Parts: sequence; C-alpha cells; structure tokens
Amino acid sequence: MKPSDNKPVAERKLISRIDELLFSKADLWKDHPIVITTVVLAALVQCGLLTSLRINRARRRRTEQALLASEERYRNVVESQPDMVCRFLADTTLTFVNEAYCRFMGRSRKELIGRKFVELIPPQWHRQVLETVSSLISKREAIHEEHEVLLPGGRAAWHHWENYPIVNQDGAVQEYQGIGQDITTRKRMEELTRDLMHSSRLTLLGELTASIGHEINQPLGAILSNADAAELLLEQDPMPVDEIRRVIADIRKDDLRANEIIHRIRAFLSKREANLVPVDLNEMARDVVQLVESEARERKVVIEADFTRGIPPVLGDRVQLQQVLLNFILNGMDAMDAASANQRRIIVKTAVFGPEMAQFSVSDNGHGIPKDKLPRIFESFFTTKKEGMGLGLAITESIAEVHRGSVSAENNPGKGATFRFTLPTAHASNGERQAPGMASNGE
Amino acid sequence: MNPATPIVHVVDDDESFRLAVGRLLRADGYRVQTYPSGSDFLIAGCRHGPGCVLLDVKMPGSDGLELQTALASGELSLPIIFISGRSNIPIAVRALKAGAVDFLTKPVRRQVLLNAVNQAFVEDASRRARDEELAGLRACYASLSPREHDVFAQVITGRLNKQIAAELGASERTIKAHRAHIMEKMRVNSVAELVHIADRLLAASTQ
Repeated sequence: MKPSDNKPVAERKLISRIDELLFSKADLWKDHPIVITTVVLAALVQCGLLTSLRINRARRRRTEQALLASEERYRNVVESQPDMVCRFLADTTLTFVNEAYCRFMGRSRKELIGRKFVELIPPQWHRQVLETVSSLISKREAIHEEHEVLLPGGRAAWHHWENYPIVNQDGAVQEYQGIGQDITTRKRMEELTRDLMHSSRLTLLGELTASIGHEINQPLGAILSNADAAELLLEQDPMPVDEIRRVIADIRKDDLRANEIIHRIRAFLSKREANLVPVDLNEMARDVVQLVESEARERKVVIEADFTRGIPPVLGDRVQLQQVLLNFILNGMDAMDAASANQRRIIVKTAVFGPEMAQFSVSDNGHGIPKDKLPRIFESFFTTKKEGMGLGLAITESIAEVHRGSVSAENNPGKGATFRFTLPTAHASNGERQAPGMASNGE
Repeated sequence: MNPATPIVHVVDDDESFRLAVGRLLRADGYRVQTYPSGSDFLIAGCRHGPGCVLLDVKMPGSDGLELQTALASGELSLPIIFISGRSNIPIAVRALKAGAVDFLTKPVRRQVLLNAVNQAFVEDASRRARDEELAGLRACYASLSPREHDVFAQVITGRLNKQIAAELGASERTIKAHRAHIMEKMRVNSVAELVHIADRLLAASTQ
C-alpha cells in the first residue's frame, strides 16, 4: 500500500490524479502519440533555439568586434599611407580620400568628398586627365600619369597617379581608385639638373673659349700690327728691306707661337685627370640616358636603348665617357629640332666591336651632316650651329685619344646621323698588345 | 726730334706685340717708346712731355687699371688708351669711367689704333693748353700786390669804387687807380672777365 493512505480523501484524489498523470504516461503515449511527440519535440527545439540564440548573439558580438577591429586595421593602413589614395566616379567626383590626400591637397575631407577633382587641376592638364579616366573605362587596366595640381593659395604641385577601375562581382565598373605621390621635389630636381647641364656645359665651354681667346689674341695681335707695319714700310723710299725681312721673321715666329698655344690647350683638355678604370658601358649609358630623360621628354624626343648584354668592361674614365655620350645625345636632339614632334627618335646602342673592343653609338633621325662638312666635323672651333662653339666634338676626339680609342661620325642610309665611340676593353689593355688576328688565351 | 713732339708710350709685357706696335707707329711717323711693365714706365720718368700711354690691361706687376689710378693721382695726367687680349666688358667700363681715352682689343686694326692715338694727342694738347693758361693766370694774380688782392676781391663782388673805398678805408681815386692796374696786370678789359678768372682760379685751387 502507498504511504499516502493516511491522507484525507481530497488529497488522496489529487494524488491519485497526479499518479495517474505521472504514471499513466504510457497510456497517454498510447492514446496520443503524435501530439505528445510534437509537443516534446517543440519543447526541445525551443530550448535548442533559445540556447543557440544566446550562443549566436555572443558569437555575433565577437564577430562584429573582430570585424570592427579588422576594418579599423585596414582603415589605419589606408589612412597612414604616405601615398595618396582616393576613389572617384567616372565624372571625377571624389567618393573617398585618405588622410594623405587631404594633407597633400591642403584641403579637408569635407571640402573634397563630392567634389570633382578635375576642378583641382590646372586647365592645361584637363584633357589628359579626362582621357585617362575614359581609357580606364574601356581598358580596365592601371594607367599611370603625371600632372600638376592647384593647391590653395595658388601654388602648384606635381603629382604622379596610378589609376585603376574597381570592378564588382558582376564585372561592372562602379568606381575608380587612384594611388598617388607628390613628385614636386623630383620635378624640381629634374629642372635643376637640366639647367645645370646646360649652364655647366655653356659655362665650361664659355670659360675655355675666353681664356683660349685671350691667349691666342696676343700673337694674333702682334701678327696683324706687324703686317700693317710691313705694308707701310713697303711704301717708304728707299724701301727698308732689312727691316721688312725682320718683320716677316717675327710674323712667322708669332704664327708658330699661336699654334703652340693651341697644342697646349688641346693637351690640357685631353689630359684632364683621366682616371682609367674598368667601366661597365651599359651601366654608364643607362645613367646618362636617365639623366637626359626629362630633357628628352620636354623636347618630345624618344630615346631607345639597345644595350648588348654581357659586354666586357672597358678601361676608361667614367665621367669622360659620360660626357661624350651626353654630348652625342644632345647633338642628336639638336639635329632633330626641325623634325616634327612625333618623329624624333634617338637610339643609344652599346655593342662589342671586334675581339678586344667595345663601342657605344648614338643615332638620330634629324637633318644629318652635310657631306662637305663631314671630314671637318671633329676640328676645334668647327661648328654648323649658329650658336655653337665647335668644341664639343673636338674634346670628344681628345677623350678618344686618351682612351686609345676612336670616334667617328657618319650619315645614316636613311635619315639622320650616327656617332660612334670605340675603345678597348679592360682585358685587352691589361694584357700584352696583340697583333690583330691573333687569338687570345689560346682559344 | 722736337721735344714738343708727342710720344706714344707703349706699356705691354708681351714682347712681340710691343715690338710690332712700335714698328707700326714709327712707320706711321709717330714717336714711340716701349716698356715691358708699368713700373719701368714710371721709373723712366718720361711722363711729363706731351703724348699718351698705350697700356695693356692684364700685366703682371702693376695691373693696368691700378697703374691708371696711380698715374692720375701722381700728378701725371697723360691720357691712357687701354688694350687687351680679352674683351672684358666690366673692366672696359671701369677703365672708361675712370677717364681712359678708349679700350681696344687685340688684334687691333691699324686705323682703329691711329684714331685712338690721335684722339689721345688732341686731349693731351688741350689739357696742356688749359694748364698753361691756368699757370699764366696764377702768375698774373701772384704779381698783384697785397693791396691789389684786396681790391680784386672787392671788385669781383660788383661793388662801386666809392663802396670799395669806404670798405677799405682809402680814397676813391686810389681805388680807381688800383682797379686800372689790376685790369692791366690780369690782361682783361671788363669786370666780367675778371670774375671769370676768379672763378677759374678758385676752382683750380680746390681740386
């Protein structure tokens, strides 16, 4: 018997009721299996949902935080870039700018977002910039360009930009991105270098010409006055023959003196502290081409480099060789001044020349060298240019002598001329002088 | 040759040019003396006679321009023609500003040289004439007695004899006599000329 037997009837009824419910589950189950299953399942699912909801919320919070942290990190990367980063639409409206952009443009983010950046650019660059943007639409690849920008206060700066389209999942272009640098300093340096090149070339030659002139004018002055004197003496009656003879002897002496002075000057020019060491022709040529790049661009000249790999080093004075190459290139550019702007091409070539020599050459497609002037082109003070001083190529010849090499010029079969500078390789100069045709190293 | 014939003094360290130019000028009938340096020229002491100096600018020793300054301050005022192998504009300007007759460049054409030399001789002659005249005036003035000096000073202010007499405490007649003597000794006919002479004497003494 159950312990509840001693309780009052109501209680006993309740308890038996509960007993029924509790211990009659099996009956309930037999009678309403589906309902019970559904209710139990529902209860379970609800519990599960509640739990997972709680878990999810926690996870989502962690994910959000992680996302925020990640976004923060990337934003910092973009914002702390020394380069300018911006995004814009096809009509150049700015949709995003990073901190560097604001800083370099001297304007706040508020002043920039929503503004068309073409307004910040001087008018002469508008066409180029707009063409770049429209090319981006069709080409879908990065485009580099350089242009000036207007800073508040009226100053201008130079920018270099790499622009590319941002393509979404459907392959459509919605925005463009640009990454830029301020290259004002570089541009100024280029300008300075160009000026320096010009002025030092002129100053050096100008000074040379002045002192050469002064030295030579002494004997020339004596010669002229002697000639004038002789003319007068010839008219005297009786004619002072002995004195006239003396005058003529003096004239001869002064002529030789003048010649001596020119020799001295040429020797001085060529012996200019030449420091002969092994030099990589390609490296030397590359440096010169780089130096002259901006000048070439300004004069709309295309310089092509055709460097042969693996040329053995030559024995030479690097600075003097650079001067020669620079002179060739500048002469070539001068020769093309009259040619139309998209025709100007200069080819700088390096090559091996025979078993023991190497050569660098510069070809242009300018007006060439007049045939009758060609034999004299390396003479001192010979020039075909109105403003030329005629010393550049003469100095080149002196440098060739010092390097035990040679310099030559010829007209191209087509248009223009080619100047070549040939010199022995370091190996050849070190070893014993070999007769041409003899194999070296027993090969 | 007549000591009054002007001499061209050629000062140049370049021997052949010195020789050649000397020859040319002599053949043209000029009197020439040549010197290898400025100091040689100064030592020779020929600077007082008529003539001019043909001076090379770039010389060791006395630099051409310095020599010019030295010559000008040392009471030697022979006109100077500069010549140089360099045509250096700043130097030329300095030289011309300092009163050089001309600045020539080597090689120099005969006619250009001769024109410069003739110009220099003309300048030298007129300066000598002026100097001589001034010396004459000074001598005349010095020949006046002290009293006449006093009267002279008064006359050129335009005062009448009566006023001068009162000022100097003499009779009008005495003053009138002094005035006449002064005019005679100074070789003038009017007070205006006297004033002019006084101005010149004053100007010369303050230089």
